[in-house]
Amino acid sequence: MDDVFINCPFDDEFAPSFRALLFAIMSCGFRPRSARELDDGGQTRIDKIYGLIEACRYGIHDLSRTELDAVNNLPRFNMPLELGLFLGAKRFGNKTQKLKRVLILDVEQHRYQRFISDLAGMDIHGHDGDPLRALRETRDWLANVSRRELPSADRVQRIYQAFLESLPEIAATLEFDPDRIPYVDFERIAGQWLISAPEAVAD
Amino acid sequence: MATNPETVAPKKPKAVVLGRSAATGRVVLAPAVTKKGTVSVQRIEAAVKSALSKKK
Repeated sequence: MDDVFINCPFDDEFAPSFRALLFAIMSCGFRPRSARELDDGGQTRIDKIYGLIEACRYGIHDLSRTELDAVNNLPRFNMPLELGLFLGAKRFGNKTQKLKRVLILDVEQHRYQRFISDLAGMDIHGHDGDPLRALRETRDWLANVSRRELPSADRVQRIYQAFLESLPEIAATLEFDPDRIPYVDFERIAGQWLISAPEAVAD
Repeated sequence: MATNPETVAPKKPKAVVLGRSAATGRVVLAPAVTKKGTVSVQRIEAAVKSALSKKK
């Protein structure tokens, strides 16, 4: 019930926003899930993604990469595909699947009207490519849909900024480039930092 | 959800509580990763504690 599927770009440009999303989810007491956690063996990738979507009550879908890439001059369609799978599970799935909640993020709140207008009426929020806005949108949405008492968006933001201040030293100790910490290690570092940081860390 | 019958859906990793965060007041759940980390949890714990101790 506490798993949050993150469907977002995995490129370097989006990495700061991806990290902010992860941290917001973890600091609010939920568990992030993403295709980055999947190993390469066994099932086909799409079957693994079905499994992830099935397991997650909450889904955050970022459509920022609705643009032509510089190499192939084609858009990335994985994010809209996985959003469609999530919406399909919510619409046609069993009682548990129907409880799914969806947050759609994009760089501009109303840009979707020009490329995926069937989403009209859904909860779509713009973050302007700003990781801290993505973090705040995530916190506010989780508070709204879960109806749990969560730390305020200001507090989550301050805690995240304190974490970012610590991160270069942690990365250096572990011999990582701070901008290229593997996903599995980043998640563990963030979790460990959250349970080790004192209450006053963000004051 | 329907999946390819030739494959087995991944087990739902059970949520494990790592601890409670004094900073947020919320529990922190352990990652559900199926991949192994590239460094040990013990090294991460030591690196985090060392960085935080210097902030005091």
